[in-house]
Amino acid sequence: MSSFTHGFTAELRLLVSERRYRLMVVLFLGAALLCAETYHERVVRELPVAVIDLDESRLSRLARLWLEATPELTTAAVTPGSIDEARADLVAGRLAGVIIIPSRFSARIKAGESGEVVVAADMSNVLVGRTVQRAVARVLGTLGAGVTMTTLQKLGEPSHDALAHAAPVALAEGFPFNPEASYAVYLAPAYVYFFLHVFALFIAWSVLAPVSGAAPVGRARLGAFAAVLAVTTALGLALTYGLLRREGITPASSPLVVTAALVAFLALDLLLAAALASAVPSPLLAFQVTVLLGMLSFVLSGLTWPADTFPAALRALSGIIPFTPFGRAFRAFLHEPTSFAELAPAWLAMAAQAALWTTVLAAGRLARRVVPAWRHA
Amino acid sequence: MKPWLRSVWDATKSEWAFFRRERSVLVVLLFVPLAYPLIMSWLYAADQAVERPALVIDADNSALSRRLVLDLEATPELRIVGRPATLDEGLSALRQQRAEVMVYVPEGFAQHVKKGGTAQVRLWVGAANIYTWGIAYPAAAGVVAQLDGELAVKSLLSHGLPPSAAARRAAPVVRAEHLLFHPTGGYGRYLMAGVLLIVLQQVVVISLAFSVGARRELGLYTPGRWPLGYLLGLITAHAPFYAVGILFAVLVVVPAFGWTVVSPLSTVALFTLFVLTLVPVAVAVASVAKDRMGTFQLLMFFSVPLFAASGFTWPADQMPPALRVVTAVFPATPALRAMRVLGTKSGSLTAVAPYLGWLGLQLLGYALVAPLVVRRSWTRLPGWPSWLAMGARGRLAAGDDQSAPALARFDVDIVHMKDQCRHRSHGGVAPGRPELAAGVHPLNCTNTSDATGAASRASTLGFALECHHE
Repeated sequence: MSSFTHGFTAELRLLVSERRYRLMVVLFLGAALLCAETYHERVVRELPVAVIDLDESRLSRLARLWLEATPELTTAAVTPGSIDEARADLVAGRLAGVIIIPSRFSARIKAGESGEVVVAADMSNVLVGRTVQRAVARVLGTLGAGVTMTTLQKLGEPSHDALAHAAPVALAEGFPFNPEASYAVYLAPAYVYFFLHVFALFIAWSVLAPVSGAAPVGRARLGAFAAVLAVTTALGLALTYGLLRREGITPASSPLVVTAALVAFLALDLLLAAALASAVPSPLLAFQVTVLLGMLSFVLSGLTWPADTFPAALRALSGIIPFTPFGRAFRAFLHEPTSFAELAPAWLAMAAQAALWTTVLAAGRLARRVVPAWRHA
Repeated sequence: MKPWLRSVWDATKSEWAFFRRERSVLVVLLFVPLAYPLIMSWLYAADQAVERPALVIDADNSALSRRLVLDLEATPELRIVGRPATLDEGLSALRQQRAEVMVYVPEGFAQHVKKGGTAQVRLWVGAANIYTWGIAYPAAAGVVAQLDGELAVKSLLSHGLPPSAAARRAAPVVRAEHLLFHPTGGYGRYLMAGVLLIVLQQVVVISLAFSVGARRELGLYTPGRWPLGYLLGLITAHAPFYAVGILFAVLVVVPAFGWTVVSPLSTVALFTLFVLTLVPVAVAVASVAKDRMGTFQLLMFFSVPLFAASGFTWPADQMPPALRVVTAVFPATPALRAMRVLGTKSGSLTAVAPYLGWLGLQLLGYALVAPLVVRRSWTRLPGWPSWLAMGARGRLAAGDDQSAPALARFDVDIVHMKDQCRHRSHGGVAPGRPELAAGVHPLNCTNTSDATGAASRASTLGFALECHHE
């Protein structure tokens, strides 16, 4: 048996036999499942709002009806009796918003004045607040357009032209990558692949500093890394075509593209771990640097907080972490049919990172030969 | 002083002395609570993401369409980064994520409006990132709505309405919006209070497990007869660092970066209760920690899921019920929900009383469970009553048959250390494991650290080991 094959099989045996590594797989899968399941509902629905209708007119009742019909909102069964009560409900999270339709709302509109609706949204959770804001704006916008149409008809505009005059510019919207603006589409893959990334970085240390036995060297080490790559790729594919599909996210690109991107990303992760292990004198410190980079890679990826808002130094750091280009790649290959060529920016970024980390690896090895203190570290 | 109390005090002193010897523990205790909040705060310092990259295709090139493009350019939330020649080119740029928004004004746009028809503007907003989508989409849609409103006013003017009446008729229903508690909707302010709390959780749980792992590696894990007291002693030694971490987060990081907490005092109180609730969790986890690397390899998987599934960002009532049950047992869940209130809504602890009660119940539960976990990990005899397990310690030396499970367990540990220490067996032979002997095991170790580590592990299992340094 060649050294490479021996290293490959020995690593597989180690990953299966060692309790710690089995536990890591369980925790990794558990974390991915927990995060993906959190967004199982995909969009925020039925946020409780109180509608205080002091007008009780036909128009205000119509507004209430439409607010209730909006999927994002549900009107609370009990309406707060005072401002203080409403505030207490908002603080306690029992209400996400309060909408007050003042008395004479309808009368003012009929008199040619503007009718004002007071909307108080709980912005302590931006997601909740913005959803309330958007839903109420849509309902009141539609209500207003209806009133304008009626006015135009009263002014002699034929009914079929009234809409065009009331709303002369129509907006046709499209949301690439995520047509229903689903939080599952937004975050589930990000979390799943982030945990895969952390798992790959951590499990790489089963080769670099195994719990039992000596660390493999030479071709045996390459074989061991190949085993880790095989295991992590298999787990990545299982999550892509298992867990993510369960969450309603089916890769739009071919399995070949998905597999190639995963292999490149995970190989780069292993290279990063090996490079850090080589360049940092103490294995523990090298591992701690790996942990730090790994844990920061989610927020540094730009998947949630956009990279153009980062301070320059953190943007540079983000650029050397494999999860960053892979984040852009998976958003393309999961949600749009993407070819190898269309992923060119991600391949290029990964190639640049591979060159950087190979240089670091080589420099570390050289330093170990030259600096005696490093050799024995 | 009672013996168990003495064990707490001795362990505390021992841990303080250990900091001088093993700096890596000190690094964890200082770096995580001090550097991590700074890095995260620095990352989110901009607080708001504006100027989302947008593309515009003006196929109409009329005065009206140019006006629309100008308005888009003037919107602070958008920054026009390109004007693709064709729709395909623009869509390709969107797919490659070179831009987040594309507005397409079709040919004949102004003509449609002039003829009294409905003119269409097409808008694409990449929703892969819902945060940026939530900024760019309302901004672009708002510009179009503004133009729409102005054209509606013109239409009403053409029917003879005076300007002020036309403006009111074009927008008959107006919204008076009150964005409560966090009006700017800034991302950093929205997240950072929760991030600080999770950092604190990781400090408490990881630092103790890390220290125990380091002690086990160095053979300095000596819990004696009171393992629970020993671990409590170690965590007592860490307590000043937790206090510094809390005060640094609330009194330095929060004001320095402009993050908000309504009442620093209430926030400190919440953080303190949270840390207290984590103490038995940390003790239980540390009791099974084997080494420093394993501590990170396993515990780092907890921070992100507990944050995501806590209800801090995604509302709890939107989660599957099973998930709500699972996350209810973690202290981070009530603490983060309380933090959402204390961060922006109210500084009063009364406002978060249900969450504090929830944390209190967890503290009680974990305080009852932790000693059982510690004792079980100490005796290392799965399934055996603890009194029997402790009794087995004395019988091992005689190679008693009943000690076989303990020997088997010991075997596993010895296998772990085989690379560090070659051991020769002397004395009686354990049943079924001829290579392992009950009694004294002389070890040949390459260094002192390996030898003391082996001795410590063996003593944990009730064995006596002799190490000869060569």
